[in-house]
Amino acid sequence: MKRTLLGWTAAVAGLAAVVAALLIWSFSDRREWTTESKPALAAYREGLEARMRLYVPDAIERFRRAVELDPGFAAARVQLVELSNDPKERRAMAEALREVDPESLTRRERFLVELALARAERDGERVAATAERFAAALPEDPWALFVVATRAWEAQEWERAEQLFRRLLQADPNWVIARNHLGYLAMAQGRFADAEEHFRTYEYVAPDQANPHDSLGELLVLTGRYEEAREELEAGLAMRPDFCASYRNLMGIALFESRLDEMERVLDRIEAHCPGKEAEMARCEARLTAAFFDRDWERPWRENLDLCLSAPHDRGPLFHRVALLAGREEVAAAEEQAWRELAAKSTRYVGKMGGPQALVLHLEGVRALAEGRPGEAAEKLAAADQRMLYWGLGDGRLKLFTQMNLALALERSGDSAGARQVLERVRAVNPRWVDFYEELDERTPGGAA
Amino acid sequence: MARPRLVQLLSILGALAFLLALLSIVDLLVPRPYDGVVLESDAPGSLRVREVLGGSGAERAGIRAGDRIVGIDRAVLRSTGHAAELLARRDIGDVVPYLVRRGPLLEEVEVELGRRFIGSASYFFACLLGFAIFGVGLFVRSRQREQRAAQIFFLLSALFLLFLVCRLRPASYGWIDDFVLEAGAVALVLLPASFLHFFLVFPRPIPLRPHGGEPGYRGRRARWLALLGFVYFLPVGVALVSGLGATRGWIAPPRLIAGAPAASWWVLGAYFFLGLAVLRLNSRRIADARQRRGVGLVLVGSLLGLGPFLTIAVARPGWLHSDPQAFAALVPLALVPITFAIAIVRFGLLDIRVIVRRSLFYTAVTALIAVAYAAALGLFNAFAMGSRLAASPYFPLVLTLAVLLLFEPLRLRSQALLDRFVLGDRLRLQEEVREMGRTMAAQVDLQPVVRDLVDRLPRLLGLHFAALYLLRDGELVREAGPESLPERLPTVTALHEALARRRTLVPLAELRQLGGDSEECRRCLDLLEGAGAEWVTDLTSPRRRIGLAVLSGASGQIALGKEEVALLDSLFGQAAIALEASLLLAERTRQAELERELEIASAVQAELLPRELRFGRGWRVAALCRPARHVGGDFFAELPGRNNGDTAIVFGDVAGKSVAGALRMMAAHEALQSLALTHRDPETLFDLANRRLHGLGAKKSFVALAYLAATPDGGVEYLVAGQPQLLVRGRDGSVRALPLPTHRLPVGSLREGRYALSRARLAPGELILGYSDGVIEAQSPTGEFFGEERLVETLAGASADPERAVGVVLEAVEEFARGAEPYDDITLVALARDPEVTT
Repeated sequence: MKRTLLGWTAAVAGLAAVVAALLIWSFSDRREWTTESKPALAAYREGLEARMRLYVPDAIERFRRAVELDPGFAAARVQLVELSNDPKERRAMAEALREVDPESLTRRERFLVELALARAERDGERVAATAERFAAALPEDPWALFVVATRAWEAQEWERAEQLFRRLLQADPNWVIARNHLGYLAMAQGRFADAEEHFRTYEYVAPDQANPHDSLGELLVLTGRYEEAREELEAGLAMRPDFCASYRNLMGIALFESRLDEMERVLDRIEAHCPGKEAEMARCEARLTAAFFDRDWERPWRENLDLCLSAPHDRGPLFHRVALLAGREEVAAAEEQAWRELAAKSTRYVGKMGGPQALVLHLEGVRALAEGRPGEAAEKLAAADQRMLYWGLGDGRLKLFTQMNLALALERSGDSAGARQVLERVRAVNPRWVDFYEELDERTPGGAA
Repeated sequence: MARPRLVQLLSILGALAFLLALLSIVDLLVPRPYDGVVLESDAPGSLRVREVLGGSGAERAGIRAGDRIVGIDRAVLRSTGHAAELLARRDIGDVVPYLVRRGPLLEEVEVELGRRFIGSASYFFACLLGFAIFGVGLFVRSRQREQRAAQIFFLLSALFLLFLVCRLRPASYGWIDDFVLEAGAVALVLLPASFLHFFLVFPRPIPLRPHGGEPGYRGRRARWLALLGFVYFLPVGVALVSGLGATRGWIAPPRLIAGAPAASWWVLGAYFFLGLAVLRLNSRRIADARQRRGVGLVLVGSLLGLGPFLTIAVARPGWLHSDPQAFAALVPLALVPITFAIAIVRFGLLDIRVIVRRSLFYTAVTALIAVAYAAALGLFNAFAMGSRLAASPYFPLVLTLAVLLLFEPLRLRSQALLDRFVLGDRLRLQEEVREMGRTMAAQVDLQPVVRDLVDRLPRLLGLHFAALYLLRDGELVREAGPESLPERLPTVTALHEALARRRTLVPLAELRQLGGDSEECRRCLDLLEGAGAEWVTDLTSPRRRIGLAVLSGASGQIALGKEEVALLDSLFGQAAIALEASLLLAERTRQAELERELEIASAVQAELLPRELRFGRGWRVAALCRPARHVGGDFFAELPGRNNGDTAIVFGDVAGKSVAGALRMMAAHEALQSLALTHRDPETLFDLANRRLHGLGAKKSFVALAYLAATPDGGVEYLVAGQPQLLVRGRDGSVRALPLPTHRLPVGSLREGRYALSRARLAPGELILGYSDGVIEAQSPTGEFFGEERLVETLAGASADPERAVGVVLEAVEEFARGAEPYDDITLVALARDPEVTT
């Protein structure tokens, strides 16, 4: 009897101990960030939430508050080294970080301090090495993932960036920057539903930011959902009227719909809210586009658009096409040469604008069309299409445009079925812009015009 | 026998299951902000909506079954726990933005939070069922802690509880949800194995023959372990392989039914039918028809209870999630606890004896009928509402009258029906015991009563044995019962007093406390307990204690409940009276026989005494011997004297009375007579007699003797060995005592006797009186002794004639005793010298 009683008592005591340990463990404030001040920790966490949601000014305020409450709070100082727009403050924070005893910090904090100091000292190699060590030591830590994913993104290592951002979202799904980047990566690869999901989630997490509205609007423009895009972009602009990228996207709608009047209205708004170079560039692009729509091939030179669109990136393939249509062979050839030089300098074959190599192929394809070699044109354009990505509205529109030119080249070379197939691909992305194909022939050199 | 560690482990598992089930229910009922979404429990962590509660914020926001909750309050959800954390920050009534995925689209909606109350009727029914099954399991375990089948049944009931309460619960947000649901899923994976395990050992383990050459026990044990290992590993392995395979992408994600892979359900189904087949085969080996019926009931209950549930779960898993269909699956499941409970109560399944208090049983039946009536009335009212009938003022009156008229007959009929079904065996048994009591009361013969108590009663009650001890000569002697019980029991006063106070059957364990802690008491109870006795009762009639009845524990029939104990008390009361009557009759018969034999012995003894005594010329002699009872130890005899033709008289008084005394008297008489033939010298004669009688029989086997012989000179020579002093009455009526020899110990009292002859002269007309101590020790009714003084006075007043003197003394003694039963035998010998004779 006594033994039974003893056994039971031991079992119940053991059970109680396990439950107590679990409760203590679950309720204890496990040390994640090193500070003794609870208000400082609360302010810091709010700052992190804000940073995660890209509310940078708000985040800076919270981090400053955290440092005020606990001047020895190293992690808060790290954040200010990275985010503060005041160089003096950044320096002061970095100085203070040098004084911190690394032994008093967690492993993550030690890495973050090391990274912040390397960045403050603009020591790129040290930054890279520290980031890699950080990720190797704490492979599932959201901060480590954030650091290496951001570096991969900046280095245009898209596949790695995508993989790392996905892991970051698994660790913490509220990092909106990861949503944003993953949205663009998905859009670039034509996974528009994924992209939309990322952008909408971003928009849900940070509803008072213009950026997710702009990103989503850009996607919707590219995919032909203009009304929804307009709503999103206008919603973003209502929050941030100076969010210039959204005006460009609104212009993109006008362009897809061939509505010059709307383009003018958007230009007025750009000039009102984004004066200076931005507005000037937009105006020049609009004029070039108007010339293309109006089939007034000489207008760019009449209006000296070649001067305001001074760099090849600014001019783009439309300028080359209009030059060919205007019979300005030397301008078109110079344009091709400029892009070839850019392509030679670039070691990457993918990147924004589909990479210079893709653009060179596009331009050569158009030239082949102009010179009556539709078969060669089709090859060049197909290769260009393969290299291009739907990276944002600009790249996406260029890829669609390349595909429509490829369809035209196939048509001209007698492969109507191939042309229809390609057009179907365009239709699958933007079912409304595919109608422009009917007008493309007369706006392409070497055709009926 | 289950090992203690396993028993403790199962107890802990059971306690954990119970706590988890409680946690599951309490968590559902705790008030907190809630959107009205019930999550899909078969896709843990996916936050997929299974249903939306009517009237909830989620319903108003347009959230529908199949949607997925992606975000709450501007945060993308990591888990259900994260969702709970976010909702906990809000208040009831707050409007919270939700991000919901519907098909490929994400949609943001505004949800107003309400008070949380989840739990459908079917879920609460499942809870009731789970706790009912667990209750049966707990009861079984508490009654049969050591039996393996009972242990596994307890495990089975705990797993059922976890599955029904934790796995079938409506899923919501919170880590408790995930934890509880996972626990329920684990229970489901383990359920098939424990189900089959139970039927492998229930009602008795299936025999597994040992390998040839292997020692039997080890071989069987190894086979059992291998079999059970396989049985348990298979479903767990299936679940692990499907889970791992799906995680690694080797196979498509398995279809989950109530959280467990569909394959687990197939295993459950296979084990279910296998288990029932094993049970069916096992039931053939059961010899007891009653137990067979119990097993049959369990088989039918399991088949009809679990069969539909399994079929629906596998064929229509969606039914488990919607109320009316879930009921269709769950209602038959109620047969499992019900049939087990009935099998235990009615058929003593798992060797469990249940005491059903009839009053409680009847109250429950009445309450049940009352509830049924109330429900029927409610239905009828609802049905008639709005009709002309309901509008009538007589409607409630007629309804009430109908209820009153129907209630009692229905209650009685239901009660009788249930009585027959549940308590039928018990009632039959009680009637048989009553009948036995009636038969016993009419008995006057001991053996039929003993047979009824010791043979028939154990058979009726399903006891291992019953035994009867009768009180004989202050000892409890086993009259009937198994040889394992001690033949005699010591009479422990404290125990018997305790039993007499209780006047009922007392469990041995209770008797230990009642009987005190004396060594003797413990020994007595240990003896009984060691032989398997469990109950004891004192058999006492209104006039005397008869003995003790001892009962063993039952072997699986009817338990000794309060009613049975009362019935047995009454039976043992009747038995005590019957036993008393039969014992008295036997005693009377024996006494009558003894008396007759004593009368014969008395006659024989009387024949030994000489009808006429001769003492010599010139002497008159009278002698008398009166035994206190039928036979006595006193005697007188005529022996050959020292010279030829002379005679001597001896009179003796042997130690002891009645038959023992008479036998010794005969031995002494015979010894003296035979020795006197060859040894006429009185001293030699007494020496030889002393040697012959010393050590004859038991202690105190001595004889007080006196020897008288006439001398030629007209005197007497005498020898006194243990007898009182001889008295001489002179002619003037004076009385003197003859001097006593130095050595006068009774004959036979010592190994060596030295007896010396004395001589006395007697004048003519004088009288010598010899007597035994019975004369002076005769008592009056007040306890006063007759005494020597009174004897002397009587002798002084008596005649000189020996005949008359003896008569006077005897008369005086009898008058003194005034009819009181004589204490001792009385012997008187008187000698007188004729006055005319001269020397």
